[in-house]
Amino acid sequence: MKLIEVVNVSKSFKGIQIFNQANAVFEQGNIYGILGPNGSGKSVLFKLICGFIKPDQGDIIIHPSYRSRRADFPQNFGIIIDRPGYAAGLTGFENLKRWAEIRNQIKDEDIKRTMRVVGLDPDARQKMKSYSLGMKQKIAFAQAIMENQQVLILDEPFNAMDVDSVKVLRELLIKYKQEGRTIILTSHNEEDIELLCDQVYQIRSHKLVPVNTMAKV
Amino acid sequence: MLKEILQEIRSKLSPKFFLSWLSLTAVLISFAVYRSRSYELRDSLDFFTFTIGSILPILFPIVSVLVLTISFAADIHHRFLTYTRMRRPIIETLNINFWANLVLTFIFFFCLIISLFIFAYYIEPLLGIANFNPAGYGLTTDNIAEDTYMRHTFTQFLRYGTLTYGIVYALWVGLNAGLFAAIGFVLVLLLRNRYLALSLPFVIYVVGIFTLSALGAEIYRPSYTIFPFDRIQSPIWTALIPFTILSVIVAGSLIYIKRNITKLGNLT
Ligand SMILES: Nc1ncnc2c1ncn2[C@@H]1O[C@H](COP(=O)(O)OP(=O)(O)O)[C@@H](O)[C@H]1O
Ligand SMILES: [Mg+2]
Repeated sequence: MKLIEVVNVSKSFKGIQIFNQANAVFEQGNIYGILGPNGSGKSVLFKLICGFIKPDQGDIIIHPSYRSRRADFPQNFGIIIDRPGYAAGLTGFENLKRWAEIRNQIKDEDIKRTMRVVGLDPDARQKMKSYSLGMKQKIAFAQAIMENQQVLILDEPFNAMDVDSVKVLRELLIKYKQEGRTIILTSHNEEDIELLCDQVYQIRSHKLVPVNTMAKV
Repeated sequence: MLKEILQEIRSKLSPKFFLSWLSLTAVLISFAVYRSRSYELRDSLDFFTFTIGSILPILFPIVSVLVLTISFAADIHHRFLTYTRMRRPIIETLNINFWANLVLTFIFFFCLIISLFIFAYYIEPLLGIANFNPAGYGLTTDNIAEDTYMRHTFTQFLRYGTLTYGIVYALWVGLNAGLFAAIGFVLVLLLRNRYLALSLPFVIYVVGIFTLSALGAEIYRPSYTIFPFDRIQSPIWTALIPFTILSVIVAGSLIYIKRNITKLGNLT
């Protein structure tokens, strides 16, 4: 099933071309990698998919089962884009709770369990402004998965994380894939891409070019 | 929506909010008490304007943005709002934040003015702090009430009772504070530099004072329409004009933001 289709998408910012007639297909149940140097448009691609920005030309087509008539964004997507986000004066748990309250699908216990999965102490009283980058990254990871989102859009998800956490979370992603979830990620670490991804797109000449990789798992 | 707005308001009603309100009230009262020693005042209305007229007209645009808009700007800067976007349409989130922000800033200033009012009219007479000498102004018990009705803009309402005036005037200051918070809110969304966005309401206020004075339109100065104590009374409608113009500008900007939401880099 085609979950996300990028069809002839062009996008530029103030005359600087990022995508020119780019095409790609993301099927349900796979892990995809997006490669490209800094500034090539990886985060822009993710923002386009999530509907944060609109293509100048072309379309992003989301499968109807992941759309809702009421909302202007895809449903059941967990995302990390660009950098983690947080309310500085709240603890990690309070931040996650404020996001969770919006949909009100999960309980405090679910949030706490997710925090333990990513390697954070749910009862820590530390405010997020004093979190290290790796800890903020873990909060971002936690909010992307805490509501059992079926599609994960992960921009540098392991950035600044300790090796042990990376190992745990890689395995988690593989487990998710086996459950039929769909994951699209970027990473500067080739090992991540090789270990995890079924297919890789490389941003080259403002297009998304499929790269052959050995699909593992 | 209403439920979410109330929830947002509740989450922002922190001890810090109450402490700021209490300390600002205390500072303004202390300042008035201190200053009142060297003045002869006519009545409680004079004492009331004394508490407000000193530093509040200059603090006003700063405090109205400080109450909450500053934390909204921080939430945008730290990308908290970006991560609400896969959970609720961003327009809805902005609406909730906008109204919560406006209502709380309103409450803050309404409570501030009402406390100053209660102090001036009901507590000060018990303490006998001020130095009243209405006779020195040619006022007697017979004509002093009539005099207050015509003293400043909005004291027209004293005709309908002391408390009526207090409440109407507190509502007026609260509404204007909400308006300045809204101006800050809109600028935070439109400008990439949040420090610029947060200081512009103050700049608008101060530049408004100077240009309108220079143009001979002193009665439309924001410091006078909101704190009308440094000149004789004007008709109330004159105060509504700058308020209405600024409100229309804010409403226009909100429509622009709504239509161009996918072009606002601050939210992605
Ligand atoms: N809202 C925006 N306005 C202007 N330029 C932008 C905007 N978003 C991204 N860009 C530009 O697009 C290019 C690609 O950015 P990005 O997708 O973040 O790169 P990366 O591949 O490193 O994630 C960069 O040059 C960036 O400056
Ligand atoms: Mg990026």
